[in-house]
Amino acid sequence: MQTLAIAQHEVLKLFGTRRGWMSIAAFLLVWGIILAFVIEPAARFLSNEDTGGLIALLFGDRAQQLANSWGNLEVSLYWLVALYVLPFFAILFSADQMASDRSRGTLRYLLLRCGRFTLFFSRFLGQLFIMLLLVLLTYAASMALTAVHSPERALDMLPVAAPVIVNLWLVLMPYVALMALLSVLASSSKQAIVYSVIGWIVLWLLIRYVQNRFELSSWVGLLDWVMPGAQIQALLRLSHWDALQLAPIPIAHTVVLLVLGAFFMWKRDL
Amino acid sequence: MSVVFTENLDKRFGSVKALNKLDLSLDAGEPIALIGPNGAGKTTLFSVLCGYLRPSSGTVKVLGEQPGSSALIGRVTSMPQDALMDPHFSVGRQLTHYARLQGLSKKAAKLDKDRVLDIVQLSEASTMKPEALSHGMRKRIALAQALLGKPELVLLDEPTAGIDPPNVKIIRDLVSELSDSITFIVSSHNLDELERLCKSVVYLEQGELKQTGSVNAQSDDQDTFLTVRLAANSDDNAFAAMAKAVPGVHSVTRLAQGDFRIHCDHHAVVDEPILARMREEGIKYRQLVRGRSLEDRLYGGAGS
Repeated sequence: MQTLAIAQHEVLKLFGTRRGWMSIAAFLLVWGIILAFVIEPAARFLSNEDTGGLIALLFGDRAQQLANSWGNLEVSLYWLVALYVLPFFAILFSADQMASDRSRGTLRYLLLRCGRFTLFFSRFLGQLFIMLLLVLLTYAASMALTAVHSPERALDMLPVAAPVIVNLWLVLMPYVALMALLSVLASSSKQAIVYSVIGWIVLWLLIRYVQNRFELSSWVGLLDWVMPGAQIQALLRLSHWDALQLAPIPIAHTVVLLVLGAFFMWKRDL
Repeated sequence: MSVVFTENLDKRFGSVKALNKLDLSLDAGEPIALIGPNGAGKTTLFSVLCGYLRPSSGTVKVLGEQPGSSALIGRVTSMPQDALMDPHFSVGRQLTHYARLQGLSKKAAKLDKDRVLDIVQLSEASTMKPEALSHGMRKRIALAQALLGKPELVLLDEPTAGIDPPNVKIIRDLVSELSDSITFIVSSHNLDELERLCKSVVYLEQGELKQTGSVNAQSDDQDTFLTVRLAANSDDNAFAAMAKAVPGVHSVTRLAQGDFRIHCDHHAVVDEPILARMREEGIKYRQLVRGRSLEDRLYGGAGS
C-alpha cells in the first residue's frame, strides 16, 4: 500500500501540480516541433516528396532502409527519433526523485512514515509509470499526425504499438534508474542533471582509454555495453518483438544503477 | 518503559564529534526538556533517534526498536527543525499523504488530516500551499503532521523558535494537553518555556550528557534560594540593600535588570519579611519563586 501511495504521489507531482503541467506543456511543444520539423519532412522525403531534412542529413543512404524496418514509414521514423530523443526527456523528468525533497527537509517528514528503500523504489516505479505515459502520448501524437494525411496508415500503426511502446519503455528504464541514483547524491534536480552529463563524458572517455590501452584483449569489446543506452544503435536494426533480444542490456543497467542508488540511499545522512 | 535508550552513542561528522559516548535512558510520561547551547548535539540526537542520521558507533533504541525501523512507523513522529513541506501541494493533500503512509485508508487519512488541523486551530489552511503560511502557522502545521495517527513519542526540535507569542502559547498549550497520552521530548533555548512545560531535563554540552534531572528545583534548592523578579522601573539598588538586611539572608545576587537570586540560610523564613519590607518601601514585584530558575541552576548566572 505504501508503494502504491508513494508511486501515485510521484505521478501526481507531474499531473497534479502547475509545475508538472508546465513540464508537460514544454514536452508537448518540443515533441510537436519534432513531429513538424523532423518526422513529417522525413516522411515526405522518403515518399520522394521532399529533400528530407534532419533524418536524411543524419542517416543519408541508410535512411530508406531504416524507414522500412517496421513495415510502416511513420512507425519507423517514430522509432528512430524516439530512441534518441526520449532518453533526454527521461533524464529531465526523473531528475528530482529525491534531491529537492532532501534539501528542503520534506524527506524527513516522509521517512517518519516509510523506509528508505520503500521510498527509493516506489518513486522509481512512479517515474517508470510516467515514462510509460510519455511514450504512449508521443506515439498517440504521431498517430494523430499520420491520420491527418492518411487515416489508413494511422490505423496500421495500432498493431505494432505494443512492441514499440514496450521496447521504448525498456530503453528508458536505465535512464530513470540513473537519475534515481544521482538524485540521491545531488542537492537539486539541476545538479543531478549536471552529474549525469559529467558522468556520461567521464565514463565514455574512460572506456575509450581502456579500449585503446588494452585493444588486443578480448574483453575490451564488452565495455561497449557498459554505458546506459549502449544498445540503441543496435536497436535501429531490429523491430517488432525481435527488439526484445536486447532487453537484458537495459534491464542489467537498471539493476546495477538501482543497487547503487539503494546503497547510497541507505548510507546517506538525510 | 524506556522511550529512548542510548549507550556509548557516537556521531561524528568528519573530525567533529557531534555526540560523544552518550548514555541516556528516558522514560515515558511527562514532557522531557532537551537543552544545551548551540552545537551541543540536540538536533543531531533527534536526527539519530528519527533515523535520519546513522550513528557512528554505539547503541540506540527508540521504544525498544532500531531508529528507522518499520516497527516505529506511526509510533514515533517528529517536528524537525527547519524542515519544509513540498511547496507544490496543498497542506491538506500532504497531511493526507503522510497519514496514508502510516497505514490509514484514504477516508481515514482525510479524517485524521482534519482532526490534526483542528487541533492546531488551522483547519482553514488545508487548501493552502505551505508558502502561503506565516512562519508561526508553518510551525503549527509541522506540529499537526507530528500528531497524525496515534504517536507514542513525539520529538519537537525548537518548536517555538522565531514565532510570535500567540503561536507559542498555542503550541505550548497543545503539548500540555496531549502529554497525558504522548511522551514529548522538547528541545528549545527558551528555558522559561521548558520550565513551564516539562518535568525532567536532559542537558547536553559538546555532544556529552552533562546533567539529567527534574526541571523544578529540588527541595534543598527551594529551602535555600528565592528568585525575585521586580516590576518594571523598580529600584534595583534599594531592593538589594533592603533584602540583604533581612535576617537569614546570606547574599543577594542581581542576575539581570530587575532579577535577583537571594541565597538564605537553610530553612530560614525570609520570604515573608522580604515581602513585608517591599510593601513598606513601595518596591513592587512581579514574581517571587522558591528555588532558583532552571537557567540559574544550569548556567549559574554570575550576577552583579
